[in-house]
Amino acid sequence: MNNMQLDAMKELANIGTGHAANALSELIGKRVDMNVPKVDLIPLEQVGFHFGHPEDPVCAIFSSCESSLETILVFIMSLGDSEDLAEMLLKNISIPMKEMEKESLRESALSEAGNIILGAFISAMGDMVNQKLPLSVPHITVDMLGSVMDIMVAIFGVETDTVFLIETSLSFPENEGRLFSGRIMLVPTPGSLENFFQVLGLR
Amino acid sequence: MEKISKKVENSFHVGMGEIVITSSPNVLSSLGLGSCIALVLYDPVEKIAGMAHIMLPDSSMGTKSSDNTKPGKYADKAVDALIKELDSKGASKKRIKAKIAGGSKMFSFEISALRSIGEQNVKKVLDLLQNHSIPLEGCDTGGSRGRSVRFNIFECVLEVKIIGQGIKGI
Repeated sequence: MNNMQLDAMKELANIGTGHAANALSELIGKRVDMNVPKVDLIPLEQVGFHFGHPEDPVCAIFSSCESSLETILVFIMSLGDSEDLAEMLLKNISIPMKEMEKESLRESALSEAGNIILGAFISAMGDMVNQKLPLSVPHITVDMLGSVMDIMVAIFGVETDTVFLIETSLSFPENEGRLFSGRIMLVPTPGSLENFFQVLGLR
Repeated sequence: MEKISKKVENSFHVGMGEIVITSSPNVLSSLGLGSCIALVLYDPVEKIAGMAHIMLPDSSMGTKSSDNTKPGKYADKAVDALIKELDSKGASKKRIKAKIAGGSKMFSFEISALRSIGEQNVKKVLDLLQNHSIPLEGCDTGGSRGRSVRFNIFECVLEVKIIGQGIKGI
């Protein structure tokens, strides 16, 4: 992969993240900042350690785009941050309910927020490459970072020992001093990178 | 690994694709298992054990461009390597027993890139253990939750930790 191709992928992610940030901002009524996307080339066996410690509890929302630009999209937050986000999403709901129902509602809300964020991301990408990019329903999991990142083994493990992904993050500057950040990862499956470069005009 | 004469325990982390062999009173661990499997083969009399952090079921799946030098990456190669290493350290194949954990399906969606790897890993490891006539003494696999494991060689217990469910010994 040459620099031009990498830059093009970063630009794609940049546009996607901008839209995702806007979508999240509208959803919660707060300003959302984004970071410059960066490309990660991570040895597969370190993927659980790259974003934290493998036993860190995280909330991750995964969606897949199955087209010629086959890719996985992830929105991942620390467990604490996901609880903050859930609170923001549900702040206007004050129906008394049991803890299990509350938890179920929180998961639904986070799942839906993930869908909106990743949906905005992929639709911006689709506009840029002039293709309709369908996004699957979101799948949410709350578990250890290492266990969640094992998905990279399934995606990459057979073909290569290096994970290629593009990551950015969203943060809330107005969150009363508490640092919230959610990471967005764009993970093109190994076979689809060629197609990405082709539609970006960079073979 | 050398036997340690003082009762000082060392803990060895087994990363993805790795195999580590050691003896009591040391401890072997694997953190954040999802579809991956931690396979422990141990000699309960000699108190020697090996742990493999297995990623994929079959070494024939590998393509030319992937590096296949990690001994624990594929289940088939991992089981052979564990047996060979334990044998060279004085374990008796007749006494060797197994415990496994992991092989979850972390996400319920399937796309062409994801191939129920967790399930395939479990099936492959169980088949291989059967082929080698190695008895399975403990098994915590499947489901959709992640696991961290620690194998205490002295007690031959595999501690399995799942978020929200505490720690259980198998």
